[in-house]
Amino acid sequence: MKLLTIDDSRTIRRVIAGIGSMLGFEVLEAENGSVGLRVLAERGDEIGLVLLDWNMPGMNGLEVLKAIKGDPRWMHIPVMMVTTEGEKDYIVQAIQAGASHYLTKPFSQEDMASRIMEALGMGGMA
Amino acid sequence: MSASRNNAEENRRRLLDGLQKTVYDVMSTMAWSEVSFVGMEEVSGFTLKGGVAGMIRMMGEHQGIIGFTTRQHVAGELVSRITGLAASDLENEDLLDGVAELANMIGGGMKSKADIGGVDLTPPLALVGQEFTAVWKTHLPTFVLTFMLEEDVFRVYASV
Repeated sequence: MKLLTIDDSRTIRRVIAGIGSMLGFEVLEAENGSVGLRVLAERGDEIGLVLLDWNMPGMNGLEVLKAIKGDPRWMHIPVMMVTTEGEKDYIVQAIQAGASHYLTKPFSQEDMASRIMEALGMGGMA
Repeated sequence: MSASRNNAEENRRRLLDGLQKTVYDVMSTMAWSEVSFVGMEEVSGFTLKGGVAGMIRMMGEHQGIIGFTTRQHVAGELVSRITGLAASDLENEDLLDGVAELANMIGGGMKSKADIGGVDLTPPLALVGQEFTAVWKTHLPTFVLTFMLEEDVFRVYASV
């Protein structure tokens, strides 16, 4: 099972890749929503969790989330929003659009690891 | 004092409070730095000078700009700690991306913590170089928040 991180920040993608690797997962990366959807189209059957930024050039995270949840091929894949947007309105929008988890930046490695395992239904940290 | 002026000052106070708390959160959680707040002062004009700077504009109902400066080796160490890459292995693009993400997290965290609504943030800007001066022509008051990151100075500027 692989994780997919969709974020225009190379720094954040690196952080998530490092944490995912520490947990034993390969992490695929996409620098924007269009690339993320292309990765899903090509490798969706390998992906167990999408970690999705909100503010990106082109499609924003909410648009990507709706595209994922609106497609029968991928709608079963849990999506965790990983974003600086921490206001209640954003969280509500994301949950209503189908996000299963929401983590605001900055985050600790422990928090991210714990949320990944929770989103994958694997309980606490490995 | 008029109600609108009271509101503006209250919003400014919330933004600055949010900024102080956010810098602490960002540095202590993602960059594993010991951080302490030294103090805040109002200065004339928004001017950034130095080795590394990150900036993000506030648009919408509440206009402004947030920026930070620090020395290049400090920024490199921060990005190294965040990404897990050795500072000596960081390429210029890694440093720029890391600084931009720091500006993004600081601006975004401030916005969330202030929770005043009507704040939209632009994509962040990162500047890395030996010598530069960045000036934002603004009529808004500018505040400088000074932090110590272990033994180094980290200044955050807010025109709000």
